Amino acid sequence: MAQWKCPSCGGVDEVGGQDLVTVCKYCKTCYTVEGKIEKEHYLIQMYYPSNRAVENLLLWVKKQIGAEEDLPLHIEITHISLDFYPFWHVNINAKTVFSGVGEDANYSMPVGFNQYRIINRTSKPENGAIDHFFSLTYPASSKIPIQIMGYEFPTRSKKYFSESYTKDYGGDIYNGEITRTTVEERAKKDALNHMTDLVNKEIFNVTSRTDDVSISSVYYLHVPIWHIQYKFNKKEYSAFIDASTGRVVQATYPISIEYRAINGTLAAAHITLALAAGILTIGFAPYAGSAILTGLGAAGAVFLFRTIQFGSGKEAAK
Amino acid sequence: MGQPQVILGRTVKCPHCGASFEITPDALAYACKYCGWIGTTDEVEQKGYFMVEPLDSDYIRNQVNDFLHKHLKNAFAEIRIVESRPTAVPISLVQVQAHTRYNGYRTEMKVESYPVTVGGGRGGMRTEMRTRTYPVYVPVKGEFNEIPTVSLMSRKHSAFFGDEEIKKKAESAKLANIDIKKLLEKKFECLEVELLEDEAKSMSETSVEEEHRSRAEKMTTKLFDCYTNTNVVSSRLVFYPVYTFVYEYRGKSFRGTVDGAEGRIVKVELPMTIGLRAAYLGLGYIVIASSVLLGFALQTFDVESFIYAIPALTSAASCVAFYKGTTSQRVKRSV
Repeated sequence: MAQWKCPSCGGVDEVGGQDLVTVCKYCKTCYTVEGKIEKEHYLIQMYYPSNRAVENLLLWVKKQIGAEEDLPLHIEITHISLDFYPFWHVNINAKTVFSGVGEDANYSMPVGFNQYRIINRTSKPENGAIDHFFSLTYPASSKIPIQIMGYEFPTRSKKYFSESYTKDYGGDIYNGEITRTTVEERAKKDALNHMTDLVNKEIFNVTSRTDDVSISSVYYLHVPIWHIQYKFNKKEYSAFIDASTGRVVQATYPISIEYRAINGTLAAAHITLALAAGILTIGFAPYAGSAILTGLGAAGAVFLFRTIQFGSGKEAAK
Repeated sequence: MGQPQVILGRTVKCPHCGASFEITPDALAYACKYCGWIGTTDEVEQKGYFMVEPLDSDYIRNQVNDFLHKHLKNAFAEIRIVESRPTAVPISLVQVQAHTRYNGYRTEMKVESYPVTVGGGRGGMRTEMRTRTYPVYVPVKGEFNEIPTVSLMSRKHSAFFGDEEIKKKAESAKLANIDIKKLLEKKFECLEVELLEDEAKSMSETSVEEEHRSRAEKMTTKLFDCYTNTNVVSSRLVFYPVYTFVYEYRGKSFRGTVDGAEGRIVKVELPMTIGLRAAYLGLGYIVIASSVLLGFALQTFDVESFIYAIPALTSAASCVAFYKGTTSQRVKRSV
């Protein structure tokens, strides 16, 4: 733990050793390890309390093919928490002016309209300029689960960050481990790397290059996610539910044994039939035999996939 | 009547009843919780924003019911709409003049027939036609000169179910000057514009540039040059009415999005009924049976060129049919 002094009220806050952004427990100001106040700090409002989040999870699981029908009756919730995870969002404009050596080609031995047998790749002096706009999002804490790393923000209204709001819902706030300065540097570096890729598509030897990278806006956002862990038949499963929209960001769920058994039987029947009928037929009727072999074989493969599939999925954001 | 008084941050005091209430940082307009007075931030109506006229929520509800009835037939009686949310989504429509020059080449395989004299002895000489295949290089050089309209949601890193379809709809919608009170009276949540106008323009220019590069790359095996000059011709900010809804069917939930201007369902999740599953699986078996019959027919006529096509097409079609027949749900789009 470390102690920081709030630049707004002077209160002393205890923060984790990895934390670089925190919210003052006295005046609720969001500030960084460098003592700078973060004004553009929002949170996405939550509309789904815990009971509705669980209800949504069960409704979603029920429509997954092969999911245990008895899950709502025998679910044992072992953990449920509302976590407010931090993200940075950065918009960047980049312009690169470059010159160097690019590629071209000469063609010879015409063999038809605009067709040639021989190509002779040549080099030429080349210069140009590329403008690009980047919209980049970064998870601000290493504690953000991998399942929500690529999370897209819901199209719902935001609030100015308010600790009391998160506490009203019993939520845990995760502090950022990346400061604005660091995220800006990282975003600029990522933008420049992308510009390098674009320049390399145009020329293979760069003799001069000038980059102009400017950040047009940055904001810091906390998003509410329900983390649910549950047991069914002594096995553990977990789910992340968007507390703003009720969307299942990612979940694992039990697949029924009956479903696996039916699909396994169908897979075995189709594959056996494909091999038997296909091999018998292919000798005297190769086209028909190959159609039986591949057609029924493909059906068997689909049933086999359903037999061994892991109960995991997510609701697409868009 | 006076102007709303901003007290702290985004808390306002209603000039009508005097009550104070908090507004969100991205509220474009708001209604007093106590007396219903409607206010807007920063003189919204002076900003030159547009909107697309929304339909009444009753009409939308009927459209959703009709759609679900048509697609689910008898199962419709078991459907319950559990959530319906009208939102006015800010969409930037940016017209970009783009001129791209590209230069590269494409590799093709050329098949050529040529005569060969064979034989000798008692049979005599005869001429046969043979074929040979070799690579040829096709120079690809050209220009794109277009003025496309780029439609993008003016929210940062944000998404909702059906947003791509709604953005497409916005490109050709009939625009009217914004009437924020009308949207609020119809219970729309009006989300604030998050992208700055310059950001929207730059993003649109980048989008067109990337689309042109992608198109040029598809035309070539190797692209040597691809340079695009862009210029923004016009930029408009439109509030597009969208209804998102959730319905339950046999203990399962499904999502849908309605174009609030036309009343059409643009994207919806639909349950897989037993009949539909049977239809897909039946189709799979029909594909296999047809391929077998076709195989016998081709063998009769001694057509050799289908030797690889038949198993490849049969397995692909069979895979799709059986996979679809055993999937959890289907998604229907209409733009």
